[in-house]
Amino acid sequence: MVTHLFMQNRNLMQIFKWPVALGVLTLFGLIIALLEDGVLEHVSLLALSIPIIVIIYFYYRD
Amino acid sequence: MGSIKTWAWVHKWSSLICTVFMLLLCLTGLPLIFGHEIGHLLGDEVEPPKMSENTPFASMDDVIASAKSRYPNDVVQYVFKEPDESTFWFVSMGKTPLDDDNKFLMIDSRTAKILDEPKFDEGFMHIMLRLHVDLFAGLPGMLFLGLMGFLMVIAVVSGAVLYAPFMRRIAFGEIRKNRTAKLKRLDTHNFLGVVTLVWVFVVGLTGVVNAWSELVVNYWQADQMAEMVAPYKDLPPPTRFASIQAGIDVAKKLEPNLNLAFIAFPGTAFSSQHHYGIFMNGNSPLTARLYKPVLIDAQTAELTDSREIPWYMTAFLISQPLHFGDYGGMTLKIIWAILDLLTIIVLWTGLMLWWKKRNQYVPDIETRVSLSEAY
Repeated sequence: MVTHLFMQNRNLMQIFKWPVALGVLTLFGLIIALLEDGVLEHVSLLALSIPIIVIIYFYYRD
Repeated sequence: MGSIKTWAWVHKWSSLICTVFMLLLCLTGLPLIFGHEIGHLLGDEVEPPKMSENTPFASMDDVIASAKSRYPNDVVQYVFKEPDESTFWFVSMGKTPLDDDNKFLMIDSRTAKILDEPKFDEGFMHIMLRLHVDLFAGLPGMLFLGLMGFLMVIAVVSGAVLYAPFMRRIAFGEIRKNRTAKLKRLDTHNFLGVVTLVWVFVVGLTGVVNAWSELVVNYWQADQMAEMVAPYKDLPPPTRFASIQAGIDVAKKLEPNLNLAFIAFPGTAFSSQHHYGIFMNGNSPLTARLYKPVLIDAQTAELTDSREIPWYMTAFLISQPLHFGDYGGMTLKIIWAILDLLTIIVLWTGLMLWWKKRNQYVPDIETRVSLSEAY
């Protein structure tokens, strides 16, 4: 795991791309679950579980 | 890099001051997420008898009469219920309307029979709740924890700023596990921290808002409640009370699409000496929280006033579900619990990073460079 030694410095856009995407997903989930019942509620619960799945995937991928 | 240094200073001190309390809040919050389920498991909760869905509800007058027959010398303070539960009411009673040393009765909403006398103010869950809400120190404890929550919000924001300098050379989600323990800890802290950031921010901020609840309610009383009951200000307290069921019927006629959420009896914090405060709510997770107060003259059972709650009460009431995570069934509770555990890891790794770093020489040149950029 020395890939990062050769990695170009990443810019802010590259660094925050995924954190922002997951943050928006979380916010969407938190708010929609509050406003909606039924199908959209399930969608919002799914949205809220994605950050957890992302953490488990990256932490245990190798 | 001067500004990064400032952010690092802000992150370090805001976190250091609040971390111990945040760990306590995460640990005590965990059982509170499942408060209802734990109550069932411990067998503390009595189940009302099963009856047909169409069984009519008893008159609220009979429910109150039942409560009074148990404690003839006490006054009724509040009648309230559990969300999504219509088979029983909780009635709180005390020596006076504002007595804190109160008793609770669980009364069947269909037969008006007393089912149980739950003790909400003792046991494991009560200890967890008090540690979480006010450290057994009342309003000062609440405001103190609110301040700690505010520091945590600052730590979250400064942490997000500091994320960038640490991530210039590694990819999103990369945890350098095979190098030093410190790098692994740093990457874990940054990765878990940034992915859970929005949730921690929302739960932290709504927790801070909740810490102000008593003051918000006090302000609402002095503001809108006082305006609504102004014509009664100089009247002597009523000696004869009208039927509470008649009052509920008036409120239901006024708001046919809403349900009865709770009743505040005369002299309590949510009514006046002269009124039944009848609080109605809707059916969706959101509208169930946004109460509509209907003030009923306690002597005549006629409508005095009813107003929409002001923005600050709305903000406070919306912040509750967003803090508790109790608006999406068991799935949301489990998500809340996992995110709570992940937050404990972020707090712990952050604390360890600081603890090990004190006066420590960093042997790895590359780490030293990236750390010196950030600190």
